Amino acid sequence: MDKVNTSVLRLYIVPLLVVLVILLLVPFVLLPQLQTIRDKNLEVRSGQERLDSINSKLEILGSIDEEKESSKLLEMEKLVPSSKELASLVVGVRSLAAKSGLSVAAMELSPGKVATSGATLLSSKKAKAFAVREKKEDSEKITFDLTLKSKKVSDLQKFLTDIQKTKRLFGVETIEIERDEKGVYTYVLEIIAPVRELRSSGDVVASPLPAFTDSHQSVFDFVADFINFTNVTFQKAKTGVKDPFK
Amino acid sequence: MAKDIDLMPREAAKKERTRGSVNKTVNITAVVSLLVVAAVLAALFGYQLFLASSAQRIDSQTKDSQEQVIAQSAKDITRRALVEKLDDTKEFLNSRLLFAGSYKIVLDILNKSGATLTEGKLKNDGIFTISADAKTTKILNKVVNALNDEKLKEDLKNIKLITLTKIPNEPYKFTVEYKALKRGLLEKASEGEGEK
Repeated sequence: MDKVNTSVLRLYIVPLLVVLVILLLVPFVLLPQLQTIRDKNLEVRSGQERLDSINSKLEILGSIDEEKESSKLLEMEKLVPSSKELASLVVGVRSLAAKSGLSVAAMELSPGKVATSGATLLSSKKAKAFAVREKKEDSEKITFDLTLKSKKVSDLQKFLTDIQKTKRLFGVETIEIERDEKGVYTYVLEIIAPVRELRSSGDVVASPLPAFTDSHQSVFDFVADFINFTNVTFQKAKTGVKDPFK
Repeated sequence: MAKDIDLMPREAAKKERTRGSVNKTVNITAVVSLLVVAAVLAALFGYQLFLASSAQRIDSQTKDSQEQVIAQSAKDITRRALVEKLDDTKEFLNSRLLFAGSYKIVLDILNKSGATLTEGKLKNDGIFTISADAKTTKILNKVVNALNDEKLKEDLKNIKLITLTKIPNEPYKFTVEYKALKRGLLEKASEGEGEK
C-alpha cells in the first residue's frame, strides 16, 4: 500500500507541481523581470545618449577661443543689447537727427508695457495666450515715435541713410510727412529698436552648443563698420540716500 | 536461494518495469525543466546586474563630464548669446525695407520734375503714398513718366494714381501710391553655411 502511494506521488503529483511552478514563474517572475530589464535598458540608452551629447559639447567648448568670442559678443551687445537702455538711445537718436540737419520736435517712448490691455481680459485661455505673447514681443523691442522738422525735404533722406548704419539697430516702421504753409516739413517716424535677453530653458548642460557658421561671421563683418551713436555713458544717481546729488 | 527466485507473474513484472521507466522519464523531464527555468532566470538576473553596472558607470562619467561643462559655462553662455544676437541681427536687417534708397527715388523724381512733396506716408511693408503739387501739366507728365521708367522696374511696382485735383489758381495736387520692392540691408551675409 505504501509503495503504491509513493509511486502515485512520484508519478503524478510531483511532475504536476513542477509544471505548475513553471507556469506560475512565467507571469509572476519572468515577465516582470523582462519589463524591468526593458526599462533599465531604455534608461541606460538615454543615459548614454546624454553622455555622448555632453562629451561632444565638451569637445566644441575646448575649441572655442573665449577671448575672441567675448570681444565679438561685446560688439554685438552694442547692436542688440540685453537690456532697454533708454538714455543712450534717446541721446543717440537726437545726435543722428542733428547730424542730418533735423530738429527733434518730440519723442515718445514705449519701452514695453508691464501689463498689456490684453492681460486684463483673462476670461479665456486665448486671451491669456495673447497677453503672454504680447508681453514677450514688447520685451524684445523698444518702440518710439520721433517727430522731426526741417525745411529741406532731403534732410530726411540723410537721416534714413545714417539710421541704416548705426551700431545700435534701429528700424523704421512708418514715416508720415507733412509740409506746412511756411514750407517746413514735419516727419513723424515710428521706430523700433530690438532688445534680446539671454534665455535658457530645458537641459542647458546637455543641450548642444549653437554653431558659429560662416553666415554668422558674414553678419558680424557686415555690422563691424556700423557707426556707434549711442556710446554715451551716464553717471547713475545714488539710491537710498537723502541727497543723490552729493 | 529463495531470494533469487522471481515469484511475480511475467505480465505484472513487465508492467512494473514500464511504470518504473515512465516514472524515471517524468522525473528527468521535471528536473530538466526546472534547471532550464533556473538557467533562464539566472541569465536574466545576470543581465540585470550588467545593466545596473553600466548605468552606474554612465552616471559616474556623466557627472564628471557635467562638472567639466559647468566649469566652462562662461564659454557656453557667451557662444549662445553671440549666436542669438547675430541671428536676431540678420533677421532684423533682412526684414527692413530700404527706406533711404526708396525715399531717394521719390525725391529725385519730384525734384527733377519740378513737383513739390506735400505729404507722404511710407511703411515698412513697402506701401508708399506720396502727395505732391505740380504747377503745370508738363510737370505732372514728367512725374508720371519718371515713375513708369523701365529702370525703376526692380524698385517700384503697382504704381497707382489715387487722386488728382485742380482748383483754379492753385497747382495740380496729386496722390500716388506704389509699392517699394528693395528690402534687406544684409546683402551677402546669408550666403554660405560652413562651420567655423
